[in-house]
Order: sequence, then C-alpha cells, then structure tokens
Amino acid sequence: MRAALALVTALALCLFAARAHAQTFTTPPRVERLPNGLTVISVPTDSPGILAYYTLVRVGSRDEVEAGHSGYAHLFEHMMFRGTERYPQDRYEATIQSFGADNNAYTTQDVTVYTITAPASALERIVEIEADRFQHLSYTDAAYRTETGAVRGEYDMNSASPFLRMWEALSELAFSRHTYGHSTLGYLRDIERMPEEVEYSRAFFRRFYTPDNCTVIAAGDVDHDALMRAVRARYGAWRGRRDSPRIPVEPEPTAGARRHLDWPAEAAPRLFVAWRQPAFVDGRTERARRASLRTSAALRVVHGLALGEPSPLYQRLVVNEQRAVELGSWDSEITRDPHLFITHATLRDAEPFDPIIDALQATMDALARGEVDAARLDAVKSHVRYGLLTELETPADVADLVARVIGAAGDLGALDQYLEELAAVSAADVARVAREYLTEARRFVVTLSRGGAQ
Amino acid sequence: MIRASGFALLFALGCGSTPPAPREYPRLTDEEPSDGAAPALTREPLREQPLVIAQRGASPIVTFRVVFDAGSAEDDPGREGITTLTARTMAEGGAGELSFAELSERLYPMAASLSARVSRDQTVFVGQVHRDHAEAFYPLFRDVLVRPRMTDEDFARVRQQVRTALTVDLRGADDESLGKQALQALLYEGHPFAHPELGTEGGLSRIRVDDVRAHRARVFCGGRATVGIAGDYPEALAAELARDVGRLASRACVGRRALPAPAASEAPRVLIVHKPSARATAVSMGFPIEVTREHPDYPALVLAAAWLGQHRQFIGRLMQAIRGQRGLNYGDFAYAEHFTQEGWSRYPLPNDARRQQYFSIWLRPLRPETAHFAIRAAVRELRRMVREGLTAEDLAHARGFAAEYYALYLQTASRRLGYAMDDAFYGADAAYLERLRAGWAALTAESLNAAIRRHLDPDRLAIAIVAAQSEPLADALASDAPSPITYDAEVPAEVLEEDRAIVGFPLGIARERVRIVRVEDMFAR
Repeated sequence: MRAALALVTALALCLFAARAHAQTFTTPPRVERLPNGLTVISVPTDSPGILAYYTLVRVGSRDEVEAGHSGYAHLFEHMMFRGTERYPQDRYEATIQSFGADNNAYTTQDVTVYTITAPASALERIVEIEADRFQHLSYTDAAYRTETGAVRGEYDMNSASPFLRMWEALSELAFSRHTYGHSTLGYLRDIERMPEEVEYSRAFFRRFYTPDNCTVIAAGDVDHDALMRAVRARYGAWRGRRDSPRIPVEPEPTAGARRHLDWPAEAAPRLFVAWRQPAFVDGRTERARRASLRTSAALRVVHGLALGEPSPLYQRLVVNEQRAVELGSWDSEITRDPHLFITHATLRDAEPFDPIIDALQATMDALARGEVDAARLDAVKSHVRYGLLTELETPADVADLVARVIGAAGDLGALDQYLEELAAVSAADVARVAREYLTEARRFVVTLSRGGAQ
Repeated sequence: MIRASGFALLFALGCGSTPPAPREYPRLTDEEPSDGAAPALTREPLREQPLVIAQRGASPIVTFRVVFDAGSAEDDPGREGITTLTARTMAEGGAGELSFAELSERLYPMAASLSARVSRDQTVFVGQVHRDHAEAFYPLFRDVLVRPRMTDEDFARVRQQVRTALTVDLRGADDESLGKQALQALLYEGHPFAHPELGTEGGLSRIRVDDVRAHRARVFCGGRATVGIAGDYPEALAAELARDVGRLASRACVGRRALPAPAASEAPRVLIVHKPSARATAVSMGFPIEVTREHPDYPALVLAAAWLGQHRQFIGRLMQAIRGQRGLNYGDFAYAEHFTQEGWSRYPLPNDARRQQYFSIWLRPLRPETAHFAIRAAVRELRRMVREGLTAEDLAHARGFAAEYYALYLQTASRRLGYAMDDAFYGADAAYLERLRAGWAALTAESLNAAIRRHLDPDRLAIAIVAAQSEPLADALASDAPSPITYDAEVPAEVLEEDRAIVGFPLGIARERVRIVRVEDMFAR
C-alpha cells in the first residue's frame, strides 16, 4: 500500500519539457555499469551533508509466478535486514545506527528498494555494509520463521482498512494469468504458509538478488568518483545472473468485469474503476519505444483532464452535487507490464454506484470523441511540470524517482524520452488513448459497502 | 486585545457574493457555564501582532506557514469539531472574488498546494508553490485567510468529508489511529484535549455555518498567529504576509484558553474499544508528562524514547524485543511527545505543538492471541528502563544515532521553517537541533536516568486497545492470568527464558479500571 500511494507523488514527474528536466537534476545524473552487471547512478543535489543511498532490486510481486508463493518479494524486503556472517543483524543495525541513518525499504509489483538516508560522510561505510548484505545475506531457519511473523503482522495492520480487500479484488478481477493478479503483500493463505518455505526463500534470493538485477542510486551530497571507487572495491567480486521466470501474458480484455464486496464495519460506499492500460514503455525498436512512451504520456494527461480538482467531473460530483466525498486517480501509476488506469471514489452514504461509474465512463467517452479543451490541456501540462519541480525536495525524493523510472523502464534514459513525449502530447493523442484504452470492454470495477450490494 | 479595525471590516471584506454575516453570533458556551458544568477556563491575552519568522533562502519552493494558537482544544463543548470545520471550510472553499471551483482552477497550473491542518493546540495553514508563481499565488493564499467565503455549500461539503473521516475512516478503517485517539481520550478525560480534532458525531451535527464563521472571527486572529515564509520568495512578501495576517483583528477575537491539568491517575487503567470486526488488536499506551520542548529534561526524554523505540527504526528495545526476536507484529515505538508522521516519511509533522504533552508507546496491530503477551513485554521494557536505566554504553550508542538522525528532520526549507516556528511556540532558548545536541552532549548515564525517573512513572500508565474480543481481554488483563506464547519458529533459549518472566508479568490493573466502549460510541457525543 505504501508503494502504491507513493507512486502518486514520486511519479508525478510526468509532463514537462526537457528544459525542466535539466532544472530538476541540477547536475546531470551519471550512470556506470560494472563488469558484473551492477548499475551505479549518482545524482548530486544541493543537500549539504546528506546522502540518499538506495539499492534497487528489479524484483517485485510480478516475478512471483509459482502458485502458492505470493508475497515473497515483499518477504525478502524483510529478510534483508537479518544480516550476514560478517555483519549479523545486531552488528548491521548498530553500524547503520551509528551513522544516524534512516534505514528502510519498500516493495512494489516491479521492484524492491532499500532506502538509506544518512550523513554524506558515511558513504564508504554504507557502501561496505550494503555490499556485504547483498552478496552474503545469511539467516537461520529460526530467524526466517520469526520474520514471517512480522510479515503476517503487516498484513494484519493493513487488514483494518477496506483498501487491501478492494485492491486484492481488483487485481484478481483484472488479471487472470499475469502475476499482477495478486497484491504485493500476497494472499493471507500464502503468508500463513511462509514459515514452512525457508528453502524457497533462499532460492528466491539466489534467483533475483544478482548484480545484473540491481542498481545502486546515490543522490544528494555525493561525489561520483568517490562513489565508484567504493562500489568497485566492495561490489566488484559479486557474481550471479538473474533468473528470468516466464511471466504469463495477460490476454487483452474483451469484456470488462465488476465485483462487489461487503465490509463488516462502518464503511462509506467506495469504488475502484480501472481500465487496462499498456506498459510504461514497450517495443523493440526506438520508434516503437517512443510511441509507447507517447501513449503513457497521453494517459497521464487524461488523469489531469478527467479527474484533476478543476475538472468538470470533480467539480460536479464532489463540489456541487456532493455525491462523492472524494474522487481521484493514481495519476502516476507506471508499470513494467500492462497494468491499470485507476480511479477511485468514496461516496456519500447510500449513494448508488452506477451513476458514478457511468459519469466516469462518459468523461472518458467524451475525451475519446475529441472533446479536449486546449487551455485545459496546457493547464494539465503546467501542473505536472510544476508538480515535479516542487516535489523533489530531498535526496530521498530524487532517489525514489530514479528508482521508479528504472523499475518500470529498465533504464534512466527513458526519463528524458518520456519527458519529450509528454511535452508533445496533443489533443489528438489524448483522444486516441481514450478511444483505445478507456473503453467499457477494458474496464474493471470493484465496489464496497457495508451490508449487501446496492 | 481589541483592535479598532474591527469585525465589520473583516466581514465586509469577506462578503463578496456570499450571504451577509449573521447579526448575532452564537453565544459562547464557555461564557455561560450551566449548572454542574466545568468552570470556564480563563483566557490568555492576545499578542499585539503576529510573530514573523522569515527564512529567505535558495530553495525554489516557497513555503508559507501561518500558525494560529487555536486547535481543537478551542472547540466549544457540544460543538466538537468546529475548529476543523472552520479551518477546512476556509482552505477548501471559495475566497475573495473566487468560488472554490475558480480558486482550484487558478491553483492547478501552478501545482500549488494550499491546506489547513488542525491539531489539539494549533491550526496551520500551509501554502507551497514554485518561486515562478509565488507572487501570483500569494493573493490566493491571503484571501483564504482574510477573505474566505465560507458558503453554505462549501461548509456542507467539508462537514460531510469530516464526518466520513471520523466515522468511516477512523472508526471503520484505521484501528491504529483509533487506538491513538482512544489513548488521548483516556489521558485527557474532561480536558479540552480529549476529543479528536475531527470532533464528535454529535458536535459535527450541531455545528451550523454561522457557527464556523463566528468561530473563525474569535480564534483565527492576528494576535494568535505566527507567520512564516521560506524559500526564494520576493523579498517584500514576508512583510506583506505579516501585515495581512495582522489585519485579522476584531472585537470578536479572544485569547487562547488556559488549559487545566490532566486528571491525575495513580494506577494503571485500560480503555478497550470493542470492535467486533477487528481482525487484529491495536495498542497504544502512555501518560501525561510535564516536559515540553523548552523543559531542561526534554533532550533526555527524547533520547530515552529513541532508545526505547525510535519511530519506524530498528534501534529501539521494543522493536527488538517484540518484532525482531519474536515476530509478534510489524513495529513497536516510543515517543517523548505527541507524534504525527508526515506523509510517508519517518519524520514528525512540524506545527503540531502542544502546551501539554504525553509520553507514549505504540504497538502496531497484534494477533489477538498475542496481544496480552505483547502488552506485558512492552510494559516490562518500560519498567526496566525506568528502574535500571541506560548504561553509559547505551547512552553513547543512542546519542551517536540521534545526533545525526534528528538532523534528517530538518532536510527541507519548509520543515526548517516549521521547526523554527515550533521553537517560538515553546519559547525554547535555542534552535531545536542545537538544543537537543547540546543537551545530549551534557548527559551522563546518571543524569539521563535521573530525568527518566523524574518524569516517567509506569504506575500511571493508561492503555488503549482496539479489539474484537474485549471482555475476555479485559478479564485476562485484570486477572494477571498467564499469557502463554507459542512460536512458529525455533526461538533462542535466552528469549524463551525471558518469556517465562513476561508470561506472568504483573500489570497490576484492577478490573474496575478496565472500561469497554463500543466502537460506535467512540466520539459519538
């Protein structure tokens, strides 16, 4: 859930011109690759004395293809804090605490990201202990089982909110084959079985925690050459090749679907209305990649046009008629494989769902017919551009952004290309993507209320 | 203080196309204590003019923070939630010549944010915008403060949203936050801090749009304001902001209410929120303390809380004992003052200051069968810290961590501004981080442990729980019956050895001091 919502802010990068990109990263990022495949990126920012040191592993719940084994990418996010022979958990924690570091991690469908923010002076020590745990993670069966309890606790923590149930239902509804059909937390039944799967967990580490599947991102007060010296010395001997499980391909939807959930506690009527959308970037040729990025950019513009606060739909449903208590969308959901264009609403008590769903669809249909206001198109582009400029405040913000782009696209170069496509999005692009993707045949709806279906 | 510029001016400016200000404002309930009601609280004097904190710097993001010393503690009895409704109707409604729709339209291309947040003792209006738009943004921000329209429609929408946030989100979908609010309800029974900022169902139902207009005139006054601005803003803006907020002065303005002391408690007590649908058990515990930021012992208590359970880090004893060694939940933390996490960060919100504070422990949701054991483990850790204290080595480690970690609270210009404003609120003699670091540097294990013993008294512990099986849990807690624990994993011998001490660890809670309240009755009236 953290990851899902973080996308909304971290990836609001979207639309702005290449000039804005240069403003965003005051010093251009530098990217290098070690012979073992490890990618290293530095992004200096004006943050005296503070460094964000992120390690991105391009593995997420997307890679959990074996039946009954959902949730392992996320479980591994926990296991990585269990230490090595050289730095057992206590020593690892004591060391990182001695820097005064903020040390955490998160998992999404596509990536697992280990996040450290610390004094810049600690760079070499951080490289040392991070290189050690990514190469030499070691845990006992008992430590593994204990940690599965913390994962279960995280599920319990999230289970108080209807969000998790709705998210699980939407994922299942929209994906019958692809692994996006299960949540990053995993099914409760799989989480309950985790304590018995210690060997599977070790194999998971060997399969995906490999240098060619990882990217070190250092943002803030960082000197690239000093970073590279430390990284070469500490990660140079790391070996391994990423496993490439065959991710089932989800057929294109031909008929949408809808599901209702009952919630046993006080609940306002809530809904997700989502449409299948393509991957953030796709295609073997440069031309095809560009075309797919243009499509992603145009879909980002649709979020603003259709659901931004000044949009006619928001003003009607939330401000004037007050049938919805909130209405919004995940305007920056970018994923490696085709996923969803997601909108959500919370309604007033006893407000029926159908008129809201119809209003959302009618808005998309109008865009598909080419009803795109030029001034509003410009306003959305300006909004996204300035949204990015005001949201990248800290080294961690910058590192998060880089991690998300790499998670979805595989390389940071896609960022520049995407930004160029965003600047070029036209009214015709908007109409095209609405026509191709935001149709009833591709629409998945989950509703939730207390008691029976409305 | 009464200013000549007057109420009339305030509302003349505010009128526009909106209904005229009511001729009669609701009588203030604290001016008419009825029979048997608590005595009216005295009021503090208003300042002559707003305090101004200007931090012009290189950041391209310009931040405006306008803090009023008026939080939900200013809600009149029977109108709980009025401060939140007032602030949000201002920030989420029309202002000046613009309807809310028009205001949204203006803000949108700038990607500017403009919001109000109410805490127990303060309300902050925050505006953020890129410097390219600072001058265009400022009049909009100003009008929200000095010329809000506060229409019937804006009020109705905000009230519906606040009611949903209270009943559906807090009670229906967020047991952890509910547990924290339940703890404060228990600690501050009969005190203005007892009810949540969102108010109560009854209070929200009774409040009318005229009430929020009147409440605004009374409490969102220049004499209660601290204004702050940071970033690369046009230089004249700081003085303009101070002048404009200073215009919020009228005969209606009243000073902040003095706070009563929280009711004393000499023995542990428990409030269980009975929520049949709860799959897991949420636990918060704590007690009021006399230490706030300006107190000489504040650095010591912050360090003690960090050692016991720094928020969302692994350094704390609670985290190690309950999650790390036993895997009972997702996290376990301790706080030397009220703590609200900012967004997805691990850092506390600035401008959330209070005249009175409490020490607390937060256990993230537990499986029901382990809740009693985990509560015991937490109380035992707290008691051990108070009784045995930290060693010199513990102190050195915690200090080494905290001296750097707390600098991360001040990473952005906006947060630095917020913390400087908080320093002003508390009357601290030095800036937040400098004061903490100096305090920590001067600590010895003896002086730290003496401070812990002076202020932290586990015998006064109040425990708030959200659980489905409330009666059996109440009986178990009060009987001090053993709470055996089993693990999926093989657990080290020393942990099992310690478990033997935890399983029967006496909490000393009398059954009559365990209260059960149905979830639908929480914050109902």
